Amino acid sequence: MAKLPKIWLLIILWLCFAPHVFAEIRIFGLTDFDFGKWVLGAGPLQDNANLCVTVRPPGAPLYQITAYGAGGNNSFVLTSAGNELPYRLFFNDRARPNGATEFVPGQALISLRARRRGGPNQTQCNRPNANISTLISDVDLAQIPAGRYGGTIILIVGPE
Amino acid sequence: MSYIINNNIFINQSALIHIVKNQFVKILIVILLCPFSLQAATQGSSGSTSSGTVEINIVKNRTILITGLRDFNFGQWNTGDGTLIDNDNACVGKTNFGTYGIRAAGDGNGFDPAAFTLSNGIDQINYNVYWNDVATPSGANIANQLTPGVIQHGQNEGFFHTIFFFLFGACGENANIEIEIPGTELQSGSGGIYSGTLTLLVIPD
Repeated sequence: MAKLPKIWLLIILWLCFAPHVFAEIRIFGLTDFDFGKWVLGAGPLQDNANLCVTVRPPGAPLYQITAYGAGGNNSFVLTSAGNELPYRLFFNDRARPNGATEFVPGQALISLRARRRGGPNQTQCNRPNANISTLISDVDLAQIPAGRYGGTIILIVGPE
Repeated sequence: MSYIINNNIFINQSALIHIVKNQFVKILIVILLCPFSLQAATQGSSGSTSSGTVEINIVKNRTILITGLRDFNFGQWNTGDGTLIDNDNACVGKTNFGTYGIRAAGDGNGFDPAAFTLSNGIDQINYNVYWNDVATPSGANIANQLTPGVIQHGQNEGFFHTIFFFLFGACGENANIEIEIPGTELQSGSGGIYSGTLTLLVIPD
């Protein structure tokens, strides 16, 4: 019975140094990329959007993110009537596209930091702390048949 | 009393139909204005992991098209037959007004990777390519001789052709390609079956 307090102490210490076990994470503030019409000679297409990733408790701010595209092996492609248009996808754990890291489909980008810009309880992404950007090559655009191309990216975040 | 109640019900039904109609019109307008599906980014919820989705959409316009091409089979050539010439009508369609450029590239040789050449596996012979932005061989006398790998700008599609192509995607014959194999080239080559591929590229100017 005398050892019981020590066990509780160990549990409390473990909880303090391993907060990720009970961490809650959320990705939100996501927006679509609608590029509209592209014509030959218009050059490559690129766009980026800020978003929010919050981690609770805030003592465990590191997270990882994985992106899955709509193509085979989760590749990043847009499709139209069986035709595929590849695109590249980048992520930055700051609210800017500069310094972003390129996603590999299905592989996690790790050791990302969820900076507390809006607080863990924010419901609206008023102060974003991450950025996702995409790039579509004009060479690829020139080679594909005309049509409406679309695709979905699934983003999954988890605490570290 | 019963009449009044029924009347009220009638009015409510009418109002309901009116509201439904309005909603239907609004939804229809949204659908018509939205070029893609009504899917949008979905936001993640809090949990041990969190997932969200993002849509990417783009429309690639039909900008330019070359079609109506066929192979050229000249058959057998014997010494003294002279130069071989054949032509074919084709279609170049664009969705914008203005001229276009055409580039032709052959199988190449040791000096020029785009040279217009035919080969029998041993020897190569050269041929000439002419492009006319008017269909039918009657316009062949104003055809441009193409230089291998070089874009010849300033080709006209035709005003009404552009309109028809833009509106209906209809691509009628509005150009002509002519292949000329000089007799001197044929004379110089060894016997055999000569063949080659000609690649045509059209781009809006």
